[in-house]
Amino acid sequence: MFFGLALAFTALAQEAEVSVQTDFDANLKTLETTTPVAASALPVSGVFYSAKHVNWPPFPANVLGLDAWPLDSNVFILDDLSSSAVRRSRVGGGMMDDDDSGPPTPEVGGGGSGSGSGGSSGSVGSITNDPQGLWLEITGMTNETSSLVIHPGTTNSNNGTYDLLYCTNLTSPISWQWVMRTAPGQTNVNVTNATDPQGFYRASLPNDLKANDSLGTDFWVGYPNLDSQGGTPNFSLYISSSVGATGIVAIAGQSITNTFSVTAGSMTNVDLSAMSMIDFDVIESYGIHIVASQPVSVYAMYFVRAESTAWTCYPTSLAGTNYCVMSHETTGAGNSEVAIVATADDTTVTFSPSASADTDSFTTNLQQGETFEVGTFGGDVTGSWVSSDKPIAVFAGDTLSFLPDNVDWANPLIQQQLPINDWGTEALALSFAGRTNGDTYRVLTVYSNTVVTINGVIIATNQPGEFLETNGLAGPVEFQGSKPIQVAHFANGTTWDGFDGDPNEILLPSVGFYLQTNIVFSLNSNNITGDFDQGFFTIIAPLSATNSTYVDATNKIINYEAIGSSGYFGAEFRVTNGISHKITSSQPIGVEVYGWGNVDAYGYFGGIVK
Amino acid sequence: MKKLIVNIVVIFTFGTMVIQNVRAQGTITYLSNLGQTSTGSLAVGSDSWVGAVFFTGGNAGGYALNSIQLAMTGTSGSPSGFTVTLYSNVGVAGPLPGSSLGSLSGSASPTTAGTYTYTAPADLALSANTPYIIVLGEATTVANGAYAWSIENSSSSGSGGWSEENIVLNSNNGGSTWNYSDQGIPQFALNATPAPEPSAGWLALMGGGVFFAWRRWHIKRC
Repeated sequence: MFFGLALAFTALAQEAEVSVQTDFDANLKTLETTTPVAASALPVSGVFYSAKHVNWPPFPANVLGLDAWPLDSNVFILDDLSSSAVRRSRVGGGMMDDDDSGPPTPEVGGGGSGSGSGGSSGSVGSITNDPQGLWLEITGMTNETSSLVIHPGTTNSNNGTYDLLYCTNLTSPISWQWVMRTAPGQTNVNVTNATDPQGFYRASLPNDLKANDSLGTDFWVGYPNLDSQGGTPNFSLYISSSVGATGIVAIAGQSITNTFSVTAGSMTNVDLSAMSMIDFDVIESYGIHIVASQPVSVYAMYFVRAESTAWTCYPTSLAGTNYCVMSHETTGAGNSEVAIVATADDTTVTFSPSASADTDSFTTNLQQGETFEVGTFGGDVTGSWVSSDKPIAVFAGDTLSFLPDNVDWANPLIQQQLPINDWGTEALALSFAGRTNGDTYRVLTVYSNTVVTINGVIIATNQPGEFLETNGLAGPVEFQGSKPIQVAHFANGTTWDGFDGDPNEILLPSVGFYLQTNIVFSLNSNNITGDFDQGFFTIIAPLSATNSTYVDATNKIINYEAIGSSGYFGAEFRVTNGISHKITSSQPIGVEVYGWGNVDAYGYFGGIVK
Repeated sequence: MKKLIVNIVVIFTFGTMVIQNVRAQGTITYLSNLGQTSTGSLAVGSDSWVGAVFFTGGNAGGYALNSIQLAMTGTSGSPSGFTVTLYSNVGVAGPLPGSSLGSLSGSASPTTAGTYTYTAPADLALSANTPYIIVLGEATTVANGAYAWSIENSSSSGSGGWSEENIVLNSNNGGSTWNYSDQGIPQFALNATPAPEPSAGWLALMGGGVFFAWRRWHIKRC
């Protein structure tokens, strides 16, 4: 019924005929009786029709930052009937006012940061559709410098500071890169090194929920329950920033408040050793709230001798309302688990276990910062669904898991989950450096009849919540799904290959979600924050970036090998010293970070864009 | 009567053959890195217990441990009361000594460099595909005297699926807590006897019993 209605909407909107306007209005009234999906839970890219302006062609992205009614996974009706709902977020492009003249057309005057020595190329333009009047004007490109003017309109809630974002094309998924934040009152901005043949800029308030990468100024993080046989845990948040930042890390339910300061291009460590982990089956205010003055990356580390794990933290802007979780089963080791942190008050959360979870469903109501965790001993929560009516942060894994099952030794596994809207159809990896008998991978699906291929070979056709696992896969590997998939990369236990390491888990973002600059941490063996004597990066780069990717500016990544037919190449880099490392490239790249110790390991992914 | 004696002899011979078949496999050195070049040593004291981890092989019936050979490199100070104990593993995330399975008999003062043999108590059974931990200790603190267990760096694999773990366990509090390190691989050899599969043994006994009953019935009829 709903799907049929959705198709009708699509067709009507595309035809944009006056004669069907009445039908559209009638159907819209039906839709209006339902609650639209919050903008923060929508994908940035897709097909977005205006409910107010039915004759407009669709938007290629939710550039207005509006709530919307989904017609399918990629097509939406924007809730723009009320002008007060309009957010402030703009793409540099053709001028547009809030009338029926048409949607933003980035291709027209697309803000091309034209290349060419000393010349000006590409057209310039701007878009505005904001009742508060914020718009961005590209006034020219000269000597590879883009000149922009921010017109604040009546926006005054942010002391006159704005974030400038950039991307090279608007093809889905859009890879917005954070460029800079203006000084208070600054309206004229020059962006140098604008060498791309085409580029798009976007101005937004710093708290814009569509900053679209794993850097942010607001995070909600949780530490799920983890095994600590090896001693007293050390909890550390590693926070990096390209531009420098100060901030606060607070846990309301534990009366913990720490401040931090990180200088530009570096990393700082916030010690949370006094913290308690989230407990099972009880509501607690154990959410860790991180607020930063400038965009930062946050990584969580849990160190216990022989039982460490790490994960990439995603900002509140990337929190979603619909998750299908990845974990790993265990036999006689620990609990497969899911922990939830509410980012807003009065959030209703529903957990629907998979068949393998061997636990009950539940619905609970959480206030901002409150946490709830479910665990199952002997079960596997992989494929379970977590949904909510407001954005939540979800962490899943295992308190202690063998990999593969019954292979010594076990290790905790935790990764912050990505909402299914942030899944893609292709994930790439190299087997972990140092391991000789290959790695374990899991591929999770959420759509019906998803055909999964590994290195071009069809492996399975899976249904929602189903996963496949492969052990001992070595070398470059390319995973593809006919519909979005989530791939997890696991290291196996020590005795799998007699290597001085242990299990770890890294959720692999899909191609197109890579970040261009990653500031990451690699731990050594000081026995306080880590006991790792080998650290590695695995770099996944497009061909065009294989000659221009560096660690700490001077260490060029070499010895790439092709990854299937993806057009991407992978290489390993051995980290020999230091904790903070900046990985830069001319193109967005994937970065797996991991380390090995005595029956210990950790791993995480550098960062993503959405 | 003569037939009865013959049958008893047959049965005895059959049973003996089963036992001989097991023992014919004899003591096997499943794991040894004694031939590797020593790269250093680990100090063993009352405040420095040292553990080495090994995995048994896949023999379905398990094994009987016969002896352990240790490569020692000498002493410092005046140590005494050297002990060798085998522990079960209770660790999941990493090896962790659990219950003592028994102390091994041998020199209580391996002061000169060389290989020392420590004999396991009778019936020290090892399960298949299971980690165990050899723990060395002594009566004095390292500051007053320590024995030195030789280590090497090149891991060597054993036979029959046996393997050693590239890890060293240390305890400075008599085994209450343990730390891991990768200082090297302690040098030792393990000599064991494969045990028959329980099912095979029971089959042999049951087969012998049936044969004996049949013979008794046959004798009575005669």
